[in-house]
Amino acid sequence: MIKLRLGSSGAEVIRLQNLLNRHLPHSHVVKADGIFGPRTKAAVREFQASAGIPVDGVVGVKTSQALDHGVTATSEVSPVPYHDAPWMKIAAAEVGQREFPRSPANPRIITYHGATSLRATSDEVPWCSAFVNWCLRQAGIAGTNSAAATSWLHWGQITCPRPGAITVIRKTTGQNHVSFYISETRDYYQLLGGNQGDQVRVSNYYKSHWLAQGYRWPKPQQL
Amino acid sequence: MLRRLVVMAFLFSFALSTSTEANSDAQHFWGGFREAILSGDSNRVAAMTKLPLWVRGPDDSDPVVYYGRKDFDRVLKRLLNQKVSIWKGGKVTTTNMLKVIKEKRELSSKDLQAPNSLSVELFYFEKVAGRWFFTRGYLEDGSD
Repeated sequence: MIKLRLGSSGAEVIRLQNLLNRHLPHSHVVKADGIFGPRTKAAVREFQASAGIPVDGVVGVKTSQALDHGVTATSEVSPVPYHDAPWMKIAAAEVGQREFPRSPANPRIITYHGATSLRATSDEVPWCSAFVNWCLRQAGIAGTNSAAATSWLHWGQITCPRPGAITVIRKTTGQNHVSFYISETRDYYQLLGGNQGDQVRVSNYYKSHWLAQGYRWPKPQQL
Repeated sequence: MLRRLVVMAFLFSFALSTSTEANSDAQHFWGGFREAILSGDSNRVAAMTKLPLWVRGPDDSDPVVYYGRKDFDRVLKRLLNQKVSIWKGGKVTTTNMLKVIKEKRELSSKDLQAPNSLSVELFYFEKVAGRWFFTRGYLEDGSD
């Protein structure tokens, strides 16, 4: 199979561009002109991040297979309203819950911790994954039961960036974080989650420091 | 039985009055802090700040940087001008901390979750030895 990369052109590139347009949100639409330019490369990178495969902007076997089979056009093409993600309303109701420095732990955060096997008893223990587990549990969906943010990379099914998607991001220094996707700009991901500035809030994670590792959604049978 | 009820009523009213006093105390501080911020009086803000000021990014792994009086004006400007996203009524509004402070005249119960502390979006305040201070700021674009 011929790899498609920056500089490639022709019918295969047009097919690639059409597939990307099926899978990515409208904000990432590329012109199907058969020329693999910087915009197509950026769209490939975006798709690779959403599919949880290594991000290099080159279409090899894995990316090609994911484009053909990994994400179905019917459920993943465009952003959906929050009501398709019932856990978002639950998460939003928790906005403002925070750690209290130099004070006993916030009991609400200890409750979030109860949704993972770690069952930490301090709000100083990272609690982003506990919060996602807790919100999904409240919505009647079984999560990973793990306190590790990366545990979500293989949970449910892959999806594109869409409101409510469980989003794993990695910092350039190696740390991971998991949260709920809201939107993004050229500069940052806008995520709603726990342990963001020591609280539950909407935070902007700058792409200069953070890179999306994957977007996940419950499988139909989990909903 | 009657005595128990009277004692419970007394304890309840005592707790209520203590909480109301604490809230009005925090509100009084907030009013002064807000005024100092909106007037651009960084000396007055610095006097209401526990220096060196604790500043960190959104993640636990982000390094904490402490800013003394010399660098305070610069970091305060960054803290106030940074983009901040707020969830309200199912919508996300992107604004900045200066506007948040301008629009927040009254503290809510969510701002006052724990005794002797109050939180407004990316700013955190604590009452230390009977005095309120601005003690923590979060910079989402990363502290330098």
